[in-house]
Amino acid sequence: MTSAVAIPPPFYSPYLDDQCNKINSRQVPWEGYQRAKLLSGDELTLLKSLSKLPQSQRSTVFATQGPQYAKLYIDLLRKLQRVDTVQAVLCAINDMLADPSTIPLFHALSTPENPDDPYGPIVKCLSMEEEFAVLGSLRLLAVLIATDPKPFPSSLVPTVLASLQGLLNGTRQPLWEVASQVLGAILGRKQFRVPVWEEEQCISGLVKALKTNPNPQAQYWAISCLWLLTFEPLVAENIDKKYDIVAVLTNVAKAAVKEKVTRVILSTYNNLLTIAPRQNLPAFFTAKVLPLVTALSSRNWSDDDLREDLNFLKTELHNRLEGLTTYDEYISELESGHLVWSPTHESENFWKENGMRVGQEENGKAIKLLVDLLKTSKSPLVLSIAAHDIGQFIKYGGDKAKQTISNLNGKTRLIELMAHENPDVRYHALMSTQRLMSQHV
Amino acid sequence: MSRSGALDDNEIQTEMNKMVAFISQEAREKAREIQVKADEEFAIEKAKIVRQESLAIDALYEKKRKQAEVGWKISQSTALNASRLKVLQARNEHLENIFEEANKQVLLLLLAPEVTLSHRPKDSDLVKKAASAAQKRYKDMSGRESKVSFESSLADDSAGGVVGSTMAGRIKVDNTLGERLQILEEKMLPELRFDLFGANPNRKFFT
Repeated sequence: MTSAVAIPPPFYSPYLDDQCNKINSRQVPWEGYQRAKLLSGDELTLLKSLSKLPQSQRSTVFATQGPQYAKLYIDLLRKLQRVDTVQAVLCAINDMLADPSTIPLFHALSTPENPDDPYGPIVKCLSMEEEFAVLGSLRLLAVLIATDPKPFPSSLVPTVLASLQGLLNGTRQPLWEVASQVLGAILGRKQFRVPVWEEEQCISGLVKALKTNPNPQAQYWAISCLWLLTFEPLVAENIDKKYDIVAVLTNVAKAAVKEKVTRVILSTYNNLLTIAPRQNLPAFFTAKVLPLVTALSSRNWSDDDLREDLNFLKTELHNRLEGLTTYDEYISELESGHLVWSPTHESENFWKENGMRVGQEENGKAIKLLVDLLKTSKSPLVLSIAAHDIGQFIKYGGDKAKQTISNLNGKTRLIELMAHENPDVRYHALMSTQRLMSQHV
Repeated sequence: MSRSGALDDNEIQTEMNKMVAFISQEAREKAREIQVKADEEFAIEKAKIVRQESLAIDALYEKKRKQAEVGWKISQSTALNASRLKVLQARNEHLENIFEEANKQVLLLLLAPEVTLSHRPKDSDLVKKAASAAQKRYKDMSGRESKVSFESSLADDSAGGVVGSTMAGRIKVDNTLGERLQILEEKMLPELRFDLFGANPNRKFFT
């Protein structure tokens, strides 16, 4: 973030704007505060002179006295308790920040006595019971955090995230919309990515919304947050395992009407594939992303970045697919004992070409491994895959295949597995036993 | 002209504002995406360059360290050699002192057949006396007669002793003390060393 004037992230909430207008139309009795010694005479003057000017002329005042106003507002937030006054100050700050050049004035407020400024007093408002106090503060935090070159005080992070996750999991849509945009704004800072990842409710709130809310704008906001998270390697490696994200995104992509939703989904895929390919490739294949991407390529897109991402995904997935169906990969998978439904197992081509090799190379090492896995593994997934593979081997492995399996006691084991508790295991064991028994394969 | 269905100016303005706001929102969202991607790429590039440069700096300092180490080794070796030389020199000087002392000792004579004994002038009586005694012994030992003639040709300040020559100076046996001492110096060095300086702690094998 090295721009001369930091660009604030976009924020759209007619709901909040409405409320702000109402609040601004009320008059705050500042004189009363001065009498109660909460305001000095100068500060009172500052407030009154500003309120006399219409919005359009205020920027000249801020140009000269900006720092004093910034300090005044934050001090007020620190001292005030009354809800409607807090609301007024929050709106005032928001109006001031509409001019981006005022943003650094707030960043500069940190002092030795108040090192957390300007954030401390704003975060304090998050614990108020009143809705606008929370939403308004969150909006301010979004703008200030996203543009601040300095790090955000880490002691305040949990409060902010707790507040956000409450709104993301709540039922009221306008509040969800504010929270998702604020989350998107702060996730632009690396500092927040791991804490948000650890705050699981935040992410589950987003994923839930993706599954239930068809509104494209809401989808865009939710997916943007996920996209920003995936820049962090820890997230890229684990997010699919935990939240099944590739499948969710693929569903959204299939039904997406708006280009920007597709755009941000593709960017997320891009991150997952580039930063953590090994962990995410199986998911990509299971969710059949390659066919989707190929279909999408035929459409006419106006965004260059989108087209680039599309091409990248297409080539990358294609190459990986080729790479994954080699014989050596298959052997190493067998040796590791961690069988997954990778393309190798499903591709008929692979078995046609390599069926004989599996039985013959190195004295049938591969087939021995397979039968061993069948005998010793406890995982239903591995058992199903091993059973399925044995069936394929019998089909393509040549005349001796059935004999080999019987010799290794594979036949007995397969029949045992037909009574296994897991239905998938039973199914594959049945299919393979059929092949074993029948005269015509 | 029918106006039903057409918008009046206010409504047109509102619609335009809405469209402007919409376009602006879309643009800002895309701008945000671009900014985020740019920031990430910047971070990656920066990390790469920092790593490259710190590797380069490490390599440079490793080279410097090696050079310094070599330089130190050289100077250490030089100093060791210099001190060894000094020790040897000191020993040599000591040895020469001893030989000088030995040179000043009293003489011994030996003889050859039909020799011309060149000797120091001041030794001539001594030599003559010694020569006759020697001749006698020679006769006893070898049964030969020998004739001795005398020549006082040696320098006066040499250590004394004789140089016997025969057949008109064609064969010479240099038996001056100096010569004998010289031979001794070289041959007896090992034993001298042992007597003067003690055993060498680094030496393992002795014949």
